[in-house]
Amino acid sequence: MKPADFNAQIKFAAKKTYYPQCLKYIEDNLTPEFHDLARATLVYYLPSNILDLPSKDERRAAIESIPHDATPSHTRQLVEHGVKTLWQKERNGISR
Amino acid sequence: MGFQDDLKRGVAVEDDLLQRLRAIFPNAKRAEGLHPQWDIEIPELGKTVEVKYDPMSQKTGNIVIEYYHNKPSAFSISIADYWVIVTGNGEYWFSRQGILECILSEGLEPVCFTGTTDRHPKWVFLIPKCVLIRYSNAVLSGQP
Repeated sequence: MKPADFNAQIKFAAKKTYYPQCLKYIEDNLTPEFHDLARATLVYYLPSNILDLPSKDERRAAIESIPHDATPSHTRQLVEHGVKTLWQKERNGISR
Repeated sequence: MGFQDDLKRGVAVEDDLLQRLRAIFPNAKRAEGLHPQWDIEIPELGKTVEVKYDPMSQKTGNIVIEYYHNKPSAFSISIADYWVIVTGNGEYWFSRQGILECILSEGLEPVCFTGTTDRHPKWVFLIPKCVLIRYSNAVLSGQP
């Protein structure tokens, strides 16, 4: 698979926003040898999609849908940091 | 330059930083054993440091932030408080959050390449140095 195609698939997966659905998309659309890489890459595409959710409760639910033991380790922490960072920038008037 | 040479240079860069840190924080120490979550610990501050040597950035203008190399690696697994990137003509200090902020805010996409000494392709973010340093905590002797 070409890197551009792979990245496109991960973008689609991240649009599912809730972690279990993201993983389901990955498992349904990528062959198993890409699953580990896909989970590691998802971390960088999820925060902007979570931030696009309309309410704080939904954003919180999306973050909490990531298990604490998700792989790679610290997945949840990285995504949470990412959402907060982007939110802070938007709040300060700096667009993504 | 082969893998062993790369490794020696990387260790020398870590040693140099460790010696400088010890001048201020005598208890600073290298991580023992295979310890990918950080390279140097500073007990006096309760902080940890990841050290990356990236001399190719002098030629390419890009800093490589690796996150997958046959398995989650580097940025995916390090929990170091600070990342120190040494380019050969500069030393750049970042928080882990600062690097993440750069990747997300700049909308960077990962790329894949196989280094000359690599058996497997690595997935990385290639970040222009002039962009990444906007997210740095400190620049020592560096040039954009």
